[in-house]
Amino acid sequence: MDIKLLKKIKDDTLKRVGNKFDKDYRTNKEKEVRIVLKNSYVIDKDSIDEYIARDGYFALNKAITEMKPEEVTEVVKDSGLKGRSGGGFPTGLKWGFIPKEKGQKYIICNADEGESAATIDGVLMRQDPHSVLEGMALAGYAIGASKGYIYLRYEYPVCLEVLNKAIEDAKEKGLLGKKILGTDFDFEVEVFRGAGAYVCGEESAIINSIEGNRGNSKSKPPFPAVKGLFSKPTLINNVETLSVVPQIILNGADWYKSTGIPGSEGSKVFTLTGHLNSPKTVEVPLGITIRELIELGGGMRDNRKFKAFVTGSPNVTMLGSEDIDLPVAFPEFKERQVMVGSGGVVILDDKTCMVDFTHFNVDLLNIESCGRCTPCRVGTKRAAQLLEKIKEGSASLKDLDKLIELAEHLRTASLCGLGQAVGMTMHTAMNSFKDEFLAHINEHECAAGKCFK
Amino acid sequence: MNKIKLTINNQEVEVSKGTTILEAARSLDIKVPTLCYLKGISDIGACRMCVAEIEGMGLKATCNLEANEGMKVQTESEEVVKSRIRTLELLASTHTFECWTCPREESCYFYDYLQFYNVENTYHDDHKFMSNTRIINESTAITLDSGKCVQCGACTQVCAKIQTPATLDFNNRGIDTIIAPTSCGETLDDIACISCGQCSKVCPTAAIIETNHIKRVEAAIKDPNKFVVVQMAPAVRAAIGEPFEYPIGTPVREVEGKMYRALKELGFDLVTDTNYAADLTIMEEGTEFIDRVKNGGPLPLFTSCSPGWLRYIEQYRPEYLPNLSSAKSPHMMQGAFMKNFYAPDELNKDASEVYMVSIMPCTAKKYEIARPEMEQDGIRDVDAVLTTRELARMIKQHGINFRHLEDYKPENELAQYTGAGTIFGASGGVMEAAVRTVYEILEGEPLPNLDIHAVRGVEENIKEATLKLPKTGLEVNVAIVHGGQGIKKMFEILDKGEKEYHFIEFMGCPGGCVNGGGQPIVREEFMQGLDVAELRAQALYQSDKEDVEFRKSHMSPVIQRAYEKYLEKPGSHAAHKYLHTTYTDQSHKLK
Ligand SMILES: Cc1cc2nc3c(=O)[nH]c(=O)nc-3n(C[C@H](O)[C@H](O)[C@H](O)COP(=O)(O)O)c2cc1C
Ligand code: SF4
Ligand code: SF4
Ligand code: SF4
Ligand code: SF4
Ligand code: FES
Repeated sequence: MDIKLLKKIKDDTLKRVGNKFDKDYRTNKEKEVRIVLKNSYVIDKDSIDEYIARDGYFALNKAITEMKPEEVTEVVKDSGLKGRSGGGFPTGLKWGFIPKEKGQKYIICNADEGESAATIDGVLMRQDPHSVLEGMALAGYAIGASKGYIYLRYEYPVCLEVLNKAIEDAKEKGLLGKKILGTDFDFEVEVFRGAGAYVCGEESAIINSIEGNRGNSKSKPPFPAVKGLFSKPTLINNVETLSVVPQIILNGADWYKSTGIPGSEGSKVFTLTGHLNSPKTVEVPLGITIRELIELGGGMRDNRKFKAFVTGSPNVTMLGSEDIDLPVAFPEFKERQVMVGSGGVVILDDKTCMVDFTHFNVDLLNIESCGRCTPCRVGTKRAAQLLEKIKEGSASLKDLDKLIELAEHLRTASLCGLGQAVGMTMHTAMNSFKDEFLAHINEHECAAGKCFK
Repeated sequence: MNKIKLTINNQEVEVSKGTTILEAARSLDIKVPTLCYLKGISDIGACRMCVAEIEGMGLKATCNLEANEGMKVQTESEEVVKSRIRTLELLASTHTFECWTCPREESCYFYDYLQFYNVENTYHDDHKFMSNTRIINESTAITLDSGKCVQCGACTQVCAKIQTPATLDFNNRGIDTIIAPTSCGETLDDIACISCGQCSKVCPTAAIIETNHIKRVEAAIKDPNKFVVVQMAPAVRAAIGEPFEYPIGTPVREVEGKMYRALKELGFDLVTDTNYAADLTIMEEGTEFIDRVKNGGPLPLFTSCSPGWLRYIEQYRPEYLPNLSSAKSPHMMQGAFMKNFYAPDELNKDASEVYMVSIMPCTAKKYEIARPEMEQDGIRDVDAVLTTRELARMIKQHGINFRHLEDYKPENELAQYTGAGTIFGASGGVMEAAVRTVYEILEGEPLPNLDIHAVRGVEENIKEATLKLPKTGLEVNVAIVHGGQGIKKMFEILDKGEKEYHFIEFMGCPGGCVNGGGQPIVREEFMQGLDVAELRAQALYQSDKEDVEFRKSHMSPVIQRAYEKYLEKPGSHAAHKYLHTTYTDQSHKLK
């Protein structure tokens, strides 16, 4: 395989498919963009030729024949791309943390997609598997890794089939495996199936899981970049993060930056769910306001009042109606201890009880807690029980103080992101919906009529 | 030089690169509370007690965070103390408090921290918070009590990294997380645990303890129809002072007499000493060795006096069982000899009347006495095993003031011993004792130097030496192995078959019996620069050199008499019937 052949496949395929690629599923062409979802629902997922016809593997060719590994990292850095798993960690910076020395290194594509409201990574892997593989190969080239794992959520059997076929096809065409595109670059990809625990989406738990241990989180540092899988330097990125890398390499950092706002460059896919008229998956530029997202979802169901914007289930964080014009962007959210999340958005109306909603999530998170550290193992349970007391009407203001204290303790003292995020869940709930908590405790009043039964 | 400067509580300190903040703080004598940390063994960061405030980073656990140049650390700020108190409140909310009856009442770090930080029992005012079911899981040697577990995970690390079975782990999730036997076994007897009890020594609470035998011993003492005989292992006297505030490594002669006296006061009918049977063991095992050398093996001969080691080989490497000496361990020999020869003949007691109690540094001995082979005609060789810790507890419970006891020296024959018997408690001691005897039997003349330093010490988990027998023309390669990690390594060496060994001493615990799983607990933070096993071993070697009349087992007049009167000669039919045993493949427990 070489660039000539790649071009020939592209031309032949374009001729064959006619105007198939002109399809555009967007309902709002002004607000929605098509970058991450460029190929989804357009190409035949099983056809590597159709992926190539959409400029697939041209970025990989460009990188390994024309660019030095550091240059690839540099372009990703310049693009402003941030981790799409929700934390928003600058991707290029993370790549730069991997030691330059030669030796065994790994790429892990985090396809655990644990967020219950999100189906973005699943869509991407099913619809456009080669974009994920190409993104991994590019990352592998940039950091000097020759092996990549896709840590796949157990509940995604279709993705498993599609990915395995895509890997085979790419290998057959010399786009993965040994001596890719006739160069000295080798890169293998293997799909590893998780066993279903939410915490196994956390990077150190993934490493434990692939190594065959119990899926516990480990203390950081050492970070995986230095001591990761099998104690080797390991880069872990989310599916969506990796799948957009080929386009960034092919079209340049400036092209990518032209979407979104400074500090939150590019686009993000969201699954809009909850009390909306038409829940759906959309891709929008970052910086879009919450109000605009609600509109894209067809507005509030039954014309009810918007109450809460929730991201990241079950590690939810939330914003109230006073924040409806807040841009969905990393720095703005971070300031409020809210996560952009991996794309699951739940819009709630005024019929929802936020105490009940918080209780539901915190209780669930205790079940998902790996049990390793004290604050999360015991603290999430005690928090859930305190919330239960509020719901029953047996709580005092002292219990609320205890909850506030616990939220702080979870956020600052937990070992991994799960427990820390439960602290954020509780903090954002009690921060944005303080009056509701107080009404429950003082007046035994539940505006949504859910509690005190 | 890779040095790093940082400030902790406004004091500057220089440490080498790679040092954790916790260790840096300790080097300044700053106390940082820990539950899950064990230097060089566990830094899993589970308990969150060791948090400190680091400028620019917020609260961080210090036990696994490397110090960096210029870091500013506060270990006692208001935030830090608040965080520790919250952690302790949460732990307290899951705990079954019964401190007044708890085996760890005096050595419970959790209790100490609750007291130190004046922690309120915040969650105990409401039935809502009572969410954990207490599960008590009892095996022959070890009892796990989830009600007292703070889930620090230290036990899991010691088991996996120092002993290697990895038979304890976190199970379930969230509030239901429980430390329990891994795989499908119900108790630690059902799976490939070796009953060594090393986990119980690092547990900060009473969540892992030796399975209680105090009750049955108290009952036997009260029973007028039982003649209760007690014996204690060599290593017990190297540590029995510690629970009574004697320093680690206190000379044997300062505490041995008090220990004998305490046993009398506790109401035992007869005080004997396992050291006697240690000499007997040397006669049997030494003879077996000579026999194997002369009659073509199988060699190397493996010693068989550590039941933790027995479980290891039966479960993990049964293909090597033919190498194992058939000699029972000393206290089992003592029990069998007492019940079947000495008591009927010289004490006018029937075997069934005699109740034999062994005080041991070891939890695995509790498992050992329950082995089906360890009986004659339905009479168990030994009826109860108390750990050194349990003995100390009994002494305290009975209000006996150990430090003020007058010395007592038991007169019974089965309490007389040589220096060779004493050093059994240290890693290398069995080998040294055996060499002293084997050399003289084979060479027919005294061993020139009785102190064989090559087999002493605990730094290496495998020690080797070659013994030259000029007259016999033999060169005997011996090795001493202690601790699960060392055992595993030795089998890898044996598998390769590149090196020829003749005699190997194996002990299940790192450092040998002096560091057994039933010995007094020494807090990790006090172990800084002080090797507990080494200090206790020194006490035994000193006793061997200074306190005894004879230093070689075969020179012991009481041992000679035992053979003349009852056993004929080492390896005789009678010896085989009572003092030797058999082994079985237990590898199914690995599944
Ligand atoms: C409890 C927990 C669960 C997580 N689950 C996922 C997940 O399902 N998918 C994912 O991509 N990242 C998940 N993450 C984030 C990962 O740890 C990691 O930061 C991420 O894969 C990095 O990718 P990015 O830099 O591309 O965002 C989770 C983190 C935590 C703390
Ligand atoms: S925060 Fe929760 S999930 Fe993370 S290590 Fe602690 S117990 Fe496990
Ligand atoms: S483990 Fe400690 S706190 Fe618990 S009952 Fe025993 S002494 Fe008390
Ligand atoms: S007794 Fe020994 S082998 Fe058994 S669980 Fe404890 S440390 Fe592991
Ligand atoms: S049993 Fe003891 S050492 Fe093990 S986790 Fe529980 S408290 Fe820690
Ligand atoms: S977390 Fe550091 S001692 Fe437990």
